[in-house]
Amino acid sequence: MSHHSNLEKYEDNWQTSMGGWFPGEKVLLRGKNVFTELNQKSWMEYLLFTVTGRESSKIARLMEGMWVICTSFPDPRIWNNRVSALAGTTRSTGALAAAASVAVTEATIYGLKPIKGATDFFYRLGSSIEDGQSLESLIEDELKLHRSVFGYGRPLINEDERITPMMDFAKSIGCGDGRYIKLAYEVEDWFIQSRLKYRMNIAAVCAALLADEGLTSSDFYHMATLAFTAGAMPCFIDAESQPEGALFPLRVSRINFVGSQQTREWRS
Amino acid sequence: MNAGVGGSTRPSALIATISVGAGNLGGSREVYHCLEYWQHCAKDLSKWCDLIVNPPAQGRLDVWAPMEHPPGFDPNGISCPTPVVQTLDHLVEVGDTEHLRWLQQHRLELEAVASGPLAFSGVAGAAFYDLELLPEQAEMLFLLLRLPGAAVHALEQEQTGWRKYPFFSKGFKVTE
Repeated sequence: MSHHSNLEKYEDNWQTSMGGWFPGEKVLLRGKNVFTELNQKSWMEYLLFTVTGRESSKIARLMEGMWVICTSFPDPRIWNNRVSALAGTTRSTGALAAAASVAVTEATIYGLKPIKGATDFFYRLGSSIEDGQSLESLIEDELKLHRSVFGYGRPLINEDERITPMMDFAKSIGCGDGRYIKLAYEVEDWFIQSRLKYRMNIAAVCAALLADEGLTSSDFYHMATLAFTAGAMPCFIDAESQPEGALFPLRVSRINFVGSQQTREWRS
Repeated sequence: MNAGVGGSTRPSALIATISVGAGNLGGSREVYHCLEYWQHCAKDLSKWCDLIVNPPAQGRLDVWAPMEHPPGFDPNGISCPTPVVQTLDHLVEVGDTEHLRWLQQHRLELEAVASGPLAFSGVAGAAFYDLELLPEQAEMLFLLLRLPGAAVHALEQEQTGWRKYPFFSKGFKVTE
């Protein structure tokens, strides 16, 4: 057969070292037998291995602490949770609610973009400082280019109440004293003394803690994709348990419509 | 809109629209059930009244919750909103199809039995039935048709931002 497309070699031919299911027999993940070699892992240890190929109870426990303390709040006002709650009030399904919430969590003012961006920022910062650049100039360059630094500043309230409990947890398991978390606090000091007065938010803390454990920004991003679900699900469950449509209804008169007042012409 | 104000990805706004718009309240699942009612009742008013008062039992447990109100009617409404009446009237005028016309003629009687006004989902259900769609086809199409409106709302809120978007700070209370 002559070669027509780059895809031709993949036709009926997916080759992977990631693993797979051998029906009636076994499941392999990154070369290990799930039933015999991975079956004693906790869920978070398994997820860490899935995403990164690393086996580390400490990193898994650190991640677990982040999911519990930082990212799964049962508040339906938070925008990704609100989507889940809305799905409850409209009587959609739990899976659709979770899927929608996970998708919306890939946001800019919270969620996955700051998570990925903050990790990337710290790695770039660390590398540039090693090359001799000053912290101040690097932050100023970041602000000039992007007008923000992921991990600093927060909508609704500047202070982040999660930082203290998260750092306490990190220190209790032997984390929290690495190069990047110290750098994160140095960056905060710069912001506090600047006109912006931004405080560090939890994305910076978590990014720095995980950078100190050698996780890449993509590792953290993938691990964090499901991190908000334990907050989204109770919002769905709660809204589903209350009357249909009852979640923050808004009467028409409260909508500030500023569009055209022209009457719509219906076509026959 | 929640996706827009938070700077979420644009596809996520449509994913959220589909997930939220898929349900039993004003969503595609409600439209699906409307079509089932039409299949069962057609233009027989007594069958409609009977089915509304004695809805079918769900049977085996499903991921979809059972309907809590007659499909096509608004359990929280007081009277049929003007846009719903206008839409029904316009579709009857331009389409002159048999089941939309029947719905228009018997709307008040049906609303009395359903204890709630006709909703957009009810108008959509009748229109899809006249277009000879099967329930599952109507469910799919209803989801697709709400995407453009959702898209422009998301794009608008992306520009407007979270500061002008209701957060209901004072409207939230955690009880014991």
